[in-house]
Amino acid sequence: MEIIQTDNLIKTYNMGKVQVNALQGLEISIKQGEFVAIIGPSGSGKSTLMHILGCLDSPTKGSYTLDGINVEKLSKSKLAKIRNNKIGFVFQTFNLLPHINIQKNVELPLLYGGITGSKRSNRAIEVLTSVGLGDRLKHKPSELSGGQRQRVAIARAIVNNPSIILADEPTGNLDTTSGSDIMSIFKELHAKGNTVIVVTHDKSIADKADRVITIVDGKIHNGDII
Amino acid sequence: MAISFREVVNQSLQDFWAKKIRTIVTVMGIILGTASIIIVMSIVQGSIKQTTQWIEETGGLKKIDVYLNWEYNQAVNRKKQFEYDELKKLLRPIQGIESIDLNLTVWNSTIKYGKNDVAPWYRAVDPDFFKVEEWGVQEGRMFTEYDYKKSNQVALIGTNARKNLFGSINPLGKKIQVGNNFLTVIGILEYREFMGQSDLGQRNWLEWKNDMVVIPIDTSLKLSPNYNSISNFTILTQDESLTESIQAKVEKTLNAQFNNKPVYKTSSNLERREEILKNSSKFNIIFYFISAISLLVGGIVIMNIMLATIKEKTREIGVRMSVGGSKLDIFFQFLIQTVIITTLGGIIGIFIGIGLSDIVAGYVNVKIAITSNLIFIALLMSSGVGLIFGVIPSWKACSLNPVTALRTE
Repeated sequence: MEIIQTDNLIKTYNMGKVQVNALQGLEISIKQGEFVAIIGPSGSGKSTLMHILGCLDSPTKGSYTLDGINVEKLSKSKLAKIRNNKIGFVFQTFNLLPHINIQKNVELPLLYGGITGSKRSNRAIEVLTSVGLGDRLKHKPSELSGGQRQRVAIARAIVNNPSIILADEPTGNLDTTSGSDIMSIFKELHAKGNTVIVVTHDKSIADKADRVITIVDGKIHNGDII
Repeated sequence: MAISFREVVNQSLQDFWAKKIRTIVTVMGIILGTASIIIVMSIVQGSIKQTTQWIEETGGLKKIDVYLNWEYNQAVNRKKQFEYDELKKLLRPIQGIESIDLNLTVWNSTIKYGKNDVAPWYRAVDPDFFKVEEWGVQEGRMFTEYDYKKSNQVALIGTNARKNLFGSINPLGKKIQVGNNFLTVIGILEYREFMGQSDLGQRNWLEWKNDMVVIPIDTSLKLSPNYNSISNFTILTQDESLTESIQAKVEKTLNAQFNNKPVYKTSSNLERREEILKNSSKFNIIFYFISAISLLVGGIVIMNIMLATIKEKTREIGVRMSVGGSKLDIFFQFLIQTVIITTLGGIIGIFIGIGLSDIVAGYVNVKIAITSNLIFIALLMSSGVGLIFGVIPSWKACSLNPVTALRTE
C-alpha cells in the first residue's frame, strides 16, 4: 500500500523579482513500511520536499496523498492535526524546547493530541525508555549530549505512533559514533514496521536505507550523480 | 483547540517561574495601576459610606433642621424667637410631621453632685425629643406622662455626665443639684457613638450627647420660666418622601409671622446627600479616567513585552506547530498567558492596594471601605487589559509560518 504518493509536485518561491523553482514536477511514491533515503546536493529542493511531505508547507501545484488523505486541499487546522498524529519529525538541530525536561518535550505531541494525565506521562516514559533514556526523564535537553538529544527527538517523533517518520539530516550535528547509533535506531524502527524517510546529503547514511531517491534541481534524478 | 485550558495555565506558570524577574517587570504597570484603583476607590467609598452612616445616625432623610437665617438677621431678638406652646400650635396644622425636637437648652444652672460638677447646661425636652433622637435609657426608666404633667423634679443623664458626677456610685435615685433645685436621677441615657475623623484623629462625633443632662420641659418651665425661646429646632417627618414638601411648608408658616421675610430657613439631609453624591460621581469619573490611562500604559508595556517574547520564542512556536499545535492552540496559549499574567498582577495589585490604603488611611486619617464589588472591578479591569492587549501578539504568534519559524535562530 502506498503511504505517500505525490503527483507533479511544484513549489515556487517568490524572492522579490526572482522566482525560485524549488520543486519542478516531482513524483514520489513510498510504500508502507519502507525505509527511504532522499539524497541530493544542497539547494536541490530536498528540504522543501521534506516540509511538504511533513505538511509544514503546501505545494504551489500538484497533489500529495498521505495515508489516503488528499493533503493539499486541507485547512491549516486539519494540517496541524495530521502533523500531530500521522507524522513524526526528527530535525538536524533536534528542536527540543530548552526550558522543559525531556519527558515534557516528548509529551508535547500527546498534549496537542488531547491526551491527558497519567496516560500521557506513561506513554512518554515508555517511549523514552525504549530509546535508552528512561533514567534521564527529568533532565533538561541542555544536560544531555547531542546523540542523547537526538534520541529524545526520535522519542517525540514516535510517541503518537505516526504513519511516517521524517528525519531531516538527523546525523548532521552528531559525531560518527552517535550518528551511527541514531541510524541503528531508525533501522530498528523500520524493522518494527514503521515507514522511515531520511533526508540527507551524506551518501554513507543513505546507503543504510532500503531505497535511495536522488533529487537534483527539484526533480527525481535517475542514475548516479557525478 | 486540542490542548486543555489547564495545560495552558500550567505551561504559563512554568514560563513565568523560569523568567521571574521579567514577569514581575512585565506586570509592574498592572500591579501599580490596580493598587492605585484600590487605594483611591477605597477612600472614595469610605468617605461616601461614612457620610451615609452619619446621615442615618443624625436622623436619616426624614429630618429637617429649622434655624434662624443668620444672613438675613443681623441680631437675634426675642421677637424673632418662639415660645414652646406658640411653636407647637403654629406647626400643628402641617400634615406629615412625626415629631419636633425643640432643642431648648438652659444655660443658667450649675449642675453638681456633692463636689463634682459638669458643664452648666441641660436640655429641656418633651417626648418628641426621644423620637427625633431615637434615643432611650440604658439603665433606670424614661420620663412618664406623669413626670411631664406634674412637672416632677427628675432628670436623665448621659454616660459621661454620670461618670463625672457620680464616679462609681450608683446614680439612680440620687439627687443632683441644678441651680438651686434638686432633681432625682431616674435613668442613664444610652451611650452614643459615631467614630469619624477630625484633625486630631478618630473621634466620637457624638461625644457631646453623652455629656447631656435632660429634664422634662414642664419641669424646666417651672424652674426657669425665662428659658422659653426657641430659635432652632428639628422636625422628623413621617416619611422621606414628605421631607421636601414639609420643609417648604414649615418655612412658609414660620416666615408668615414676619411678613414673609426670610427669617427662618430649613435644611435636610436630603440636600446634603444629593450634594455629596453629585460631588463623588464627578470625582469618580475623573478617577476612572485616570486609572484607565494608567492601565492603558500597563497594557502597552505588556503588549510590547509579549511581542518581544514571541520573537524570542519563534523557534519554539515552530516546534509546537510541527508536533501538531494548531493556529488556535498557539493563539490561545499566548492570549491566556497574557491574561494570566495581568490577572496575577491584578491580584498582587489588589493586595498591595489593600495594604497601602490601610497605611494611607492611617496617615491622612480617612476611613476606607474595600467592598467585594471594588475588588471584582479591579480584577476584571486587569484581566481585561490582558485580553485586549494580548490579542495582537497572540495573533502574530499563531500566524507564523511553521517552516520559517523552525528556521529562525
